[in-house]
Amino acid sequence: MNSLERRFVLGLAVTLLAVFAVLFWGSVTAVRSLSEAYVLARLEHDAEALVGAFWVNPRGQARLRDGRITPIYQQPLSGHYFILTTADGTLIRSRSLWDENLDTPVVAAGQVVAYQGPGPGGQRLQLRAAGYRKGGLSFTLTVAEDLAPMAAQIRRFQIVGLSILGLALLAIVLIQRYVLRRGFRALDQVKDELRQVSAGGLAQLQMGPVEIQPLTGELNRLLKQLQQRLQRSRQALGNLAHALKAPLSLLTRDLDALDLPERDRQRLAGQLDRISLLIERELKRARFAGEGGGQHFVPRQHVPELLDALRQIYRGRGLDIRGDDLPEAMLPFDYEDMLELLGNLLDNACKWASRRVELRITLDDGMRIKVSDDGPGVPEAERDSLLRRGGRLDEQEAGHGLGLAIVKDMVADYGGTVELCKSSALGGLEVGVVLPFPRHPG
Amino acid sequence: MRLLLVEDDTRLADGIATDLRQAGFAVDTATDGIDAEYLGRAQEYDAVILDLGLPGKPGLDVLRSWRDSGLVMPVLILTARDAWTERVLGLKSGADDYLGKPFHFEELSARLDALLRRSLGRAAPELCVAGLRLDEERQHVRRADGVEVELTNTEFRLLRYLMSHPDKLLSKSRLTEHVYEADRDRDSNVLEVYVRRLREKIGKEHIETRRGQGYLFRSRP
Repeated sequence: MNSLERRFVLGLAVTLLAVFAVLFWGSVTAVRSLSEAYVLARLEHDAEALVGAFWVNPRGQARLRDGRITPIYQQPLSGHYFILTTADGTLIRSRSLWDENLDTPVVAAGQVVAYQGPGPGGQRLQLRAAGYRKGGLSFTLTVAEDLAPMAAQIRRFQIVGLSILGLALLAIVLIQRYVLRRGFRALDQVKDELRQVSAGGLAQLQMGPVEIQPLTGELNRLLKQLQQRLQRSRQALGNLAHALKAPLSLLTRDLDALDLPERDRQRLAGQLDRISLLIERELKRARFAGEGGGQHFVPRQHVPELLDALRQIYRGRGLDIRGDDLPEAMLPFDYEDMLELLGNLLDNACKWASRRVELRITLDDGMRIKVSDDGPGVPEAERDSLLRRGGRLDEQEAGHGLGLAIVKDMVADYGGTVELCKSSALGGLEVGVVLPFPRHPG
Repeated sequence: MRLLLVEDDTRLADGIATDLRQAGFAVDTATDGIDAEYLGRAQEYDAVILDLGLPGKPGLDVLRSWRDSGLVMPVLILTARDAWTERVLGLKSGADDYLGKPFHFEELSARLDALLRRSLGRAAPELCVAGLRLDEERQHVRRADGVEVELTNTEFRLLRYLMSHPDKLLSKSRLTEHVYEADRDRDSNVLEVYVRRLREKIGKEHIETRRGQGYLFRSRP
């Protein structure tokens, strides 16, 4: 998976691991050399004390005054040992060595040799051999100390250090991940807002933190451009409609005025109606914004105006046009499309109603529109052909029966359904339209 | 009845005007918004047919400016811009009806009649006063004795205006204005000739002459 967060956290972890490894190696080396230096310094002190206890008896033999030797050298296998060898081969060993022996070099007076080697019972020893001359005798004093306690200390230091570093690594990675996720939340907000834009609830995005402002700014510019283009193309189509309809009106008029046999007149009128229907259909379809186009649709706000307009148009017929309990919600459908859809449905109902037209809009997982009238209705057998043919075309309403055909086109574009049935309440035709709410991936 | 037809396509305007005259209307035409606005103010029209996409001044602005200055004549918008959002806007701006292009003349005529009837406060589709029944489609009048009389176009216009305003004193100039178009000869003697011919056809008792004031159509002769 291509995740910025994973890349970032992985990079951070690798870098920190390298830094921590160097740090760890450095500190362990430092501690080790420090402790070795410390052990050597103590060995040197002990050696000086032993040299101080060194005397040559009247017989010329090398001896140590027992009372001046640190007790640790007296306990067997205590880990602290010494061996004194004189040039003539006398060997004085600390009691702690018991009957073990150590490899000792011969060192000239004034020289010091430090080294490590095996000791009794598998011990690992730090040894310090130095050459001395006292009371006319030259001797080499080798002092040794078991390194095990120090090694244990170092191991403990390593363990504590490693766990502190490990915890620090984990903590830093977690903190960074948290900070990153907080940062990415700004992008989540942009994503949510984009979703609202596509649902028609928002026109522009909020700018957000400085880092994503170039992105949101660019998106806003694009959105504005899109809206402008939609508006321009709608305008252009309006102009085209205007331009095409004037000659078409003239043709219709001229045809009506011509003294033709009725059969010919009807044939030509039928063709003109077809042209009108095609122009109307294609214009509406092209103009049609589809999901999340322009302004969102609010039934409670937009439908009453339409009902008023229809009441005015049909004022002379005294129709009772009702639309009660309209939803107040802002719906993700284009306002102009919905007005067109409802206008056509209601206009069709008004043409056929004798007294009453009723509109109902309800919401569930989509918008359900029901328009019923108390007109003559449509026999069940003709309902399908009515939708196919497009409108209640008959002699009187020719050229004005495009309503249902346009409704059908728009509903299809929204992925919805149209159904015709007999209105149970009013007795006439009931047209039911269901438009599903647009779904967004994710 | 005198109408103002506002339509920028002159060929279509000529066609509609011809049809309207045949249907017994006096028709003035304007092809741009500025002329239309002026004519609507200068002359008392019985109804206006208004296109929206006009050069000079948009139709909706013309309509609003008329309504703002208190002109109440019925206005029918006749336009290619017939999306429902535009219809709603047009009706909100003060139009009385809305008809999309292309249209059949019968549709326009029927809507116009309905508008005129409404503006005169008349409910019945047929004009029927003082035993006279006016057939607006065939331009005939049926007298109380059942005899049907054919009318010339001008006679029809004059009788329709008289029957639409029964028991009202109508001056010669008012009658001339509503029966003739702007560029026609408006000699009041011509009007007298038409009144005399009408009286011959429908009976003297219906139209009363008020010397120096005008004519009065009596609902009860």
